[in-house]
Amino acid sequence: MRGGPAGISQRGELAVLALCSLVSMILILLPGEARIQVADRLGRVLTAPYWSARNFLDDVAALRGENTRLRKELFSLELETAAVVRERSDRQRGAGCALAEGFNGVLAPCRVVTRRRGRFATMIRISSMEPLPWKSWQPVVNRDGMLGRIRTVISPTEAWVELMTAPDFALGVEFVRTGLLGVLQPRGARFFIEMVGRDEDVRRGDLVMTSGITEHREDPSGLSKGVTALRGIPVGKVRSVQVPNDEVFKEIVVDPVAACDRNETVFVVLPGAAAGEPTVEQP
Amino acid sequence: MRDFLRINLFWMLTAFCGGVLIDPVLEIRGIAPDFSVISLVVLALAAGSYPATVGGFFLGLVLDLANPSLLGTQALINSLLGYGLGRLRERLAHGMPLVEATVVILAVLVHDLVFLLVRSATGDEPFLLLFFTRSVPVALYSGLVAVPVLRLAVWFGLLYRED
Repeated sequence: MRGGPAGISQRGELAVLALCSLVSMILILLPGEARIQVADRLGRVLTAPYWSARNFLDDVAALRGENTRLRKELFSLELETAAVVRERSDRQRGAGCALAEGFNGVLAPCRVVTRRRGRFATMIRISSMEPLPWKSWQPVVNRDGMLGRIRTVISPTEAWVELMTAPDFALGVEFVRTGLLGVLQPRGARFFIEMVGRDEDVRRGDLVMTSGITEHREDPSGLSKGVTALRGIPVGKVRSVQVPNDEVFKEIVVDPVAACDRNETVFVVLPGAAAGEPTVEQP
Repeated sequence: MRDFLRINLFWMLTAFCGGVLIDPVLEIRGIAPDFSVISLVVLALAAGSYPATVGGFFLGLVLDLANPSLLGTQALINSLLGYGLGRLRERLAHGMPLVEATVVILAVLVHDLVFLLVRSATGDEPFLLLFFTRSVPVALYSGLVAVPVLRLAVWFGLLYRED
């Protein structure tokens, strides 16, 4: 071979051919049982490492898929359980029969493929395992709760998501214990719930969830866009409550329950049959 | 020594990646290019008879492990094929894709002809049916796919270096 065992004579080549042929013929002429055993021994040396590695990787892929499916099932069940509990508490506080108890959507598992941090936005790009009928403003959650919302759909399998940490993010929220409403907005590295009166009952440790109430906001083109998010997605827990003397509203700081600082499966909450699709309104 | 490593790396990667990764993608109704023969042609044209004989033997042996009842058959066929292709190397018009494709087509046909003959002798396999419905399309497909593979080998400087 060039650069290697070059310069072998024709007789040498024939000798190599004869040797290879001889070994092959011996293998061919082995009795059936012995042939299988020899193949087994050779396989352990020649192909077993490859098959072991391949089987391992296949198992890992299968486990990841199974894990994603189980997480989705578990999270769906948890949200449905919370909806049942909420329905009961709504009834106890006389919230009325028209109030949706919460989650009845479908969770579509996705993986995070890109994270973008900019001056005005903190976004992630997600890729779904299968084509989805997703639209802008649909909620994106992880196992713990609300992460953000779809901002731009790139293709049936990819979309950009605006995280809750984006500076102009605002979300209609509800205190689980009291049903009190507010608007969650990020300020710097912290999250505040605004529009909660100074005399309202809010305590440290109160859980906060999405309220399902449409939130309107202005975009640069002057259009008012709104989205009806599903009620009942966990958002955060109250860290501190203050009542400034000169303010009409409480100053409530919330710790978000979900964060996008780990590489894990996220879910797009697609509307269920009765959930009503998120709407984009134009006045 | 560097060329020795490059040539071996190239043909082994062609055989392995082609068989494992590319074959399933290119498969059309069960017909896929035979990357083992394509890689053997690459080895024979790049290095000559002796390495092609040894390479063909080990390649065949690995293929045989998937079908232990015919252990040694593909090792023998590929050794002979490697030797023949290596001997042919000096007589080929270099750098002509049509010639290279024809060599691959003939190599696949010879390989399958002998293999199916042996298989039909040990069992009751319909030799002619398999040859015309499987081997001929696979040979043509392999010839087609071999052209870019061999161009790639030329581009890497593995073939026709003396030209």
